[in-house]
Amino acid sequence: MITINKTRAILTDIHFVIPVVVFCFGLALLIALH
Amino acid sequence: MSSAARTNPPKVVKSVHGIGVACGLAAGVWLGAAEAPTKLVNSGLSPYAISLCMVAGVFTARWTIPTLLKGTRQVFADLSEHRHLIPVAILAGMLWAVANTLTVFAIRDVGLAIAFPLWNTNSLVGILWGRLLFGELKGASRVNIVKVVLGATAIVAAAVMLGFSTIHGSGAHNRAVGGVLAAIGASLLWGTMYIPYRKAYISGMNPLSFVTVFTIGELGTMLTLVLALDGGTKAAVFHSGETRHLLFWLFLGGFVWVIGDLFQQFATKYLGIGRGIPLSNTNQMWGLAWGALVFGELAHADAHHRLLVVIGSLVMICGALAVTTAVATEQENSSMREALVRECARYDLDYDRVMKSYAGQSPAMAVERRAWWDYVILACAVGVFIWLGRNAEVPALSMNLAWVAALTAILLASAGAGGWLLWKSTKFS
Repeated sequence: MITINKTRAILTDIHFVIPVVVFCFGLALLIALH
Repeated sequence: MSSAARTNPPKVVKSVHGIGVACGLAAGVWLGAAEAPTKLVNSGLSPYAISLCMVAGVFTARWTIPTLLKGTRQVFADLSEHRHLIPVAILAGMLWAVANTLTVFAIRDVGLAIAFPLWNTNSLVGILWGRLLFGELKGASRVNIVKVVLGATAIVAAAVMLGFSTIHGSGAHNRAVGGVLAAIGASLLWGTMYIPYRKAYISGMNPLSFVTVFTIGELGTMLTLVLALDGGTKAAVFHSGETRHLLFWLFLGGFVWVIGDLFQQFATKYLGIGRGIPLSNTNQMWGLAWGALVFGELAHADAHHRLLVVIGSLVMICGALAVTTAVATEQENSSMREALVRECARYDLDYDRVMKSYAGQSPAMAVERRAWWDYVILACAVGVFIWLGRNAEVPALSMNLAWVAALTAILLASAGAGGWLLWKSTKFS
């Protein structure tokens, strides 16, 4: 089971944060081109 | 054990550079071939519909050959051991889905032969993330750094040449800027997608387990995009009779893609992002081969346009080769192991077990036998392909069948060689 500490470790992990930010950018671009 | 000791383990770890190179080359062949079915974008279906169908094909195909390589017991045991990586793998699938949709826009607006090499610059993004986040090239020899930097620069130059030829070429002038933007956006998303890839492998996860979750992320995202932006439940993809006849070809594209993606993931595991991704991005050469030789895409291009495309492609390949012939030294490997130690510390992982998995030494569960339901799943997935094949219509595209046969033979040979090497050395670990 993923504990609160592990959840926090994931959400504050730069390896997770960067892809999230880039995903949001890509989604915005897609909507703009739509 | 101290951090210093952990980054300098005894030399029991065999070299996996050759395996990574073989996987990267095979990935290039397969990923290039997977682009051919997207030509159906001219059929009238929306880019979202095309992407959704391909992703559904990828999802279905994951349960064919990959299920034979490792049964569901092993995959779910691995996932259970690395639960914290599940959100990361889903996120990677989401990035893939959005990037893939952007490429369909790019193909529609500037054509496959141009868009394809452009989004291959994702290797540059990958090199950047590899250096910043995973210690790749940190402590590397000067020769290796020069190879990687020059190789990366060559890839950028090639991409600019290809993009320039698009703007000044004949055809879709009105949409060229949007098409180029879409291709560059796809490059950024795919380049960033390699962060989760690499993170998973320095945590000891198996590529087949990663792909399992990854395909769920991409299918869910594509379905959401269709529902939100492409007409919701009334979208043509759910109701059009045309879809049924085209579905097989898009699923076939998804099947080819998932094989290529698996090889790419093994390349990322055994070479790292900075080396593995450029090598697998030789897919642009194979994409061009399918486009030009099978579909005659360059038949009406003028000499200047052809020259730009050919030189740009060659420069890009040379750059990728320079990057990937830079074999990591022990000092660089030590830096990469620091990233592994970080993961172990952050997520409380067993360093020795992770190190073994990272080096291609399969844990004990590799000897587990397939469950009976693995064969049921396999039969269902193959059944879907057969059913779709029976409803398929050959698209109204002129194709050179001799080249189809030749390129298919190369596909099979590359998969056979890469697969055999992986099995012999790592048991697909």
